[in-house]
Formats: sequence, structure tokens, C-alpha cells
Amino acid sequence: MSSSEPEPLTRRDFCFLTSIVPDLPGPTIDETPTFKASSPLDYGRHESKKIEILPGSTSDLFRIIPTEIIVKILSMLDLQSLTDLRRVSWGVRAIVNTIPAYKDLMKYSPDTTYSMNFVARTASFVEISDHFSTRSLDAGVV
Amino acid sequence: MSEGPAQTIVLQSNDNVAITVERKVAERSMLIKNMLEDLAGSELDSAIPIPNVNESVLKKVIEWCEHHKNDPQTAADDDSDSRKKTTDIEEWDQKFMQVDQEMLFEIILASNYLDIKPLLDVGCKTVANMIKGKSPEEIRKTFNITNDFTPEEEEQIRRENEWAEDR
Repeated sequence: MSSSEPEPLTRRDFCFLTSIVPDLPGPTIDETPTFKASSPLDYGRHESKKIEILPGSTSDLFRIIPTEIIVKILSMLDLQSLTDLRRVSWGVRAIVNTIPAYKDLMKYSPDTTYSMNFVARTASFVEISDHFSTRSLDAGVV
Repeated sequence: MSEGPAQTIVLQSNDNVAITVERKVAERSMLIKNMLEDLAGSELDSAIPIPNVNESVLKKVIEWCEHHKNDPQTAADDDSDSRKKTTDIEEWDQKFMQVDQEMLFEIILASNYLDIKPLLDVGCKTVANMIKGKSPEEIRKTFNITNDFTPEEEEQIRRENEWAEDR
């Protein structure tokens, strides 16, 4: 069966396969300078602040319910709610940051996450964010 | 073999109230179910103490177990339903969960301790629904959370979230 032996690459093929794909025209997500600056996901900009106060120590939710269950609850939320939740207090912000799926999103694809969230909101595709819960991400992706 | 049609057991709350329940109902709790299986054969002649749960909460939990006693037992870690809309709650459970926050949290804690996963899920979903679609200020009010952002920090964070504001 030596007839099926692949033909050797020509020089032209080789150049084509190894050439660097030219940049796409226009700014892409990661090139837009204002993108990160205006992102609500803040890319950890504020997280250097030390959190010494228990999250809302007056709150029954955080006083009574153990963190593992809080994380379970928050994992049921969509990204939009989580983003809003991070504006509640330093402590709540810290807890949202510990949700495994949220952490993974921020670690591996903050730009994509931001874009999806942005599109979901500005286009009022509320359903997108409804289904785009960190829990389904846990099940499907991670 | 003691396979009576409606075998009962006695649970004792942490405030020393004895509550008699059908064994099948109590076995919605994996903690109790496993314990009864471990004791299989030996006579259970005393009440089972439930040290973390008081009478009113235990009664509420039993009410849920009673209503759900014929539900198919799901496998311990079956997350296959996580793909459906996560915060949907069936109507009876929604009514059941219309309690004050203290009771809601106590139910969550009790179902966690007693290992009643479907009830824990309902409790968590209820809290998740209390958060969904609320503004940060509304969330603070709902759960009595202190806002510890300085006005400057809050303004900065608000600006970053500006796209999130309703237009």
C-alpha cells in the first residue's frame, strides 16, 4: 500500500502553514485600551485591599450560614447578579471571588466573560445571563 | 423482621421535644437513613436525638419530608438537573419557604446537618432568588449587610459598573 504515502510538502505549502496569520483589522478585545479600564470585573484591581472585616457581621445570612453553603447559593446565580453582588460590601465581594466557577472565569477568560455579560445586558438578552449561571459552567465546562 | 405497614420512629429535638414520625418520612434524611441501616437488626427503643435542631424547625423539616416522602430518591450526588434553570422551585416548595429569614436559614442549616439534599437545594434556591435582580442597596437591606465601602470606593466601583445601570 505504498501508493497512499503522502506527498512531501512543497515549499509553498510549508510557507503557508507556518506563516503568521496577519492581525485582524480593527481593535480586538484584548487590544482595546479602554476595555480593561472600564470593565466592571475590575480584573482584581481592588483586591489588594486587605479585608479584615467579616462580611456584614451584622447579617444573619453570613453569621449563621457556613461559607460552603453561601458559595453553593451564589453558584446558582447568573453572572449579572454576581457582578452586582460584588458591589454590596468588601466581604461579599471577597466571597464572590472565591466561587470556583467565577474564579476560573476570571482566571482563564475575563475578557470573554466581560463581553458576554456586556452583550447580554446591552442587547437586553436577559435570557442569556439567566442561563449563563456559574453553576452550569461548573457542570459543562470546568 | 419488623416490617409494619407504617413503622414509626421517634426524633428528639434539641429542646427535648419528642416527635413521632413515619420511618419512611424520616428516611428522607440520609443521616437518619444511614443510622437506621447501621442499627438494622437491633431494637430501636429510644428516641433519636437531633442535637442541632429545635422543635419548630424540626417540625417544619418533617412537614417537608412528609410532603416529599414518595419522591424518587436521587443518587447522592446527582447533579443532572443542574442544567435546567437553576432557581426554579416547585409551587408547594415555594409556599413552604414563605417563612421569615431566621426560619429560612434554620431550615437550610437543618437540611445540611440532616443531609436532606433536595431540601437544602430548595433553601439555597430561595436565598438565590432573594438576591437575583436586586440592586446592591436592596441586597444590603434584605440581608442587613453593612456597606463598608468608602464613598470614594463606592463611586469608583459604581462608575465601573455604569454599563450595568438601566438606561
